[in-house]
Amino acid sequence: MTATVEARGLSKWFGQKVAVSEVDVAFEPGITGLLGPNGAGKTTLLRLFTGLQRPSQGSVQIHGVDPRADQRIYSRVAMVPEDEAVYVNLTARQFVDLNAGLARVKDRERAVDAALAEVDLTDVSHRKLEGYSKGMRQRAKVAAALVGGPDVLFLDEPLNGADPVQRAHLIDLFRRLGDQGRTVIVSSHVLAEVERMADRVIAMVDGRLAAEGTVASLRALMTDKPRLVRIVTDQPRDLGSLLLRNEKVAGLRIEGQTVEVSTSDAGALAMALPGAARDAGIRVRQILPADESLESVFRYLVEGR
Amino acid sequence: MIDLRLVRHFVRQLARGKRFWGMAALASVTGFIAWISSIDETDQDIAEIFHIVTATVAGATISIAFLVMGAATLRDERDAGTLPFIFMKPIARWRWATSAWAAAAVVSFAVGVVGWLVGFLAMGMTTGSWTLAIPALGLYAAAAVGYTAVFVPLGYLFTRAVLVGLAYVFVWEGIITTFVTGLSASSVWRTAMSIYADLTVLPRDALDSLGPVAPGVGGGVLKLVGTVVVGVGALTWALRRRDAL
Repeated sequence: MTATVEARGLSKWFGQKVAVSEVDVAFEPGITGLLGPNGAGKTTLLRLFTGLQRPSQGSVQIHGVDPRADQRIYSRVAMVPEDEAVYVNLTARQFVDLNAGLARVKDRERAVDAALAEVDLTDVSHRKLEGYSKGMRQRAKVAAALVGGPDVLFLDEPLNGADPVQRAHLIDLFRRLGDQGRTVIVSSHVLAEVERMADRVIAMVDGRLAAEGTVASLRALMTDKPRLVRIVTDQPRDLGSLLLRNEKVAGLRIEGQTVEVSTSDAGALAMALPGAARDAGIRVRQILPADESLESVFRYLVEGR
Repeated sequence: MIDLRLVRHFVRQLARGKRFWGMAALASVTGFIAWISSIDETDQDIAEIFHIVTATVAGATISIAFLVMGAATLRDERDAGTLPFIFMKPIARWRWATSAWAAAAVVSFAVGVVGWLVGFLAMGMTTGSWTLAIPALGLYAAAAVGYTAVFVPLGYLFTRAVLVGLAYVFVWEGIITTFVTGLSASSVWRTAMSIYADLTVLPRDALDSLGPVAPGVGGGVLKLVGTVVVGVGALTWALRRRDAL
């Protein structure tokens, strides 16, 4: 299959800060998740793809065209920006109609109706966006992006602010767009969200591509990662001695009533610990994963390369 | 040359709210001062007072009002994060830039017209002459065309565009082009005044008070066209070369 969106040696820096570093990536029709912690460079990457920002180095092509060089490509490309920004003085209908008009959509009225219906805003489309909730504004932006019938769609954290029902609705919509053969690139910092939307995932950390593949392959990488587990107990030294005898424990640190354990198999440790502690007469108050944040997982992916 | 839908969008965003009416009020100051200064004066003196006040007071109030409106055209979109909705559209950058300038010029002129109307009514009611203030409309139109060609790109390029614009108005237009005769042709206000001076019969004293101004509509219009070409060209360059967000 031919790539619709392609970046070669793409970098972007702002003064001393490198936001995106030497990214080589290609997207094909279908839905791809762009995953990474906040500050990973996802938004900058999407802005570079869409021509909103100029690469410091490297190139971007959509359907073989540099979007900064030829604006005609924008009749096939749309974006839902992350910012909550919308024209608050406009109604949702006016907002979507503005986008349809500027995108040279034929039969505007029908296209606007269809886009509003797609995001379930028809009944409230006469209301000004000023009075919309965050989630409703998000949906209005999705309608504004869809109204031009783009075949390449960039969505920057599109589920922000949407309630669970609307999340499910939007995820279903994005999947459908992907199934229709459009190239849909969705950024998110929530793995579970991306997992529900995309089969292919690109993980990003510190401006670099950290991993690429299916959600399952990313999960496998994460499972292999040494984990930190925090255990709260009244007898930290006794528990420490007990844990050091366990072969799954790579190291530990005691701080007050907390024992921080580094283990290659957090699951096995969690299973074995309660029984062993009971047998030794040690009371365990709490067992917590210390580094479950997405950021730590991604840092591991980057450092592990 | 322009994209009418884009022009309409910019006009709709600019011509609303407190800023528009605040700047219209600022533009009205000229009319009020001319009216207050004209009380108990002869018709001949009133005409002279009106021209002098227009040349001096409007030079500050109109340029500031047009600076605020011109700079806001794209700065508002950038600051609010709404620019992607209009930037990512199949419209050539030069056409996009021309549309932004045209919208700013129209709205700025509308601001000027509100201010002008005050002067027009004041002069009409004071002197009974309803034609005295009409040439000032040409001045405001010329200033709107020229100033927005400078201030719209400024608004796109600088976060503190109004501060940069104020420096331009007071240092460049107010001091340098006034005292360095060779540079006066580059002043938007002097160009607009040269059109105004040709449209009205200015008394000698009033003409002298304007500084280096050569009355002439033709030359003034040509200079304005040049200013617009340079301004729109600079904005087109910025749209192509600088980050939109």
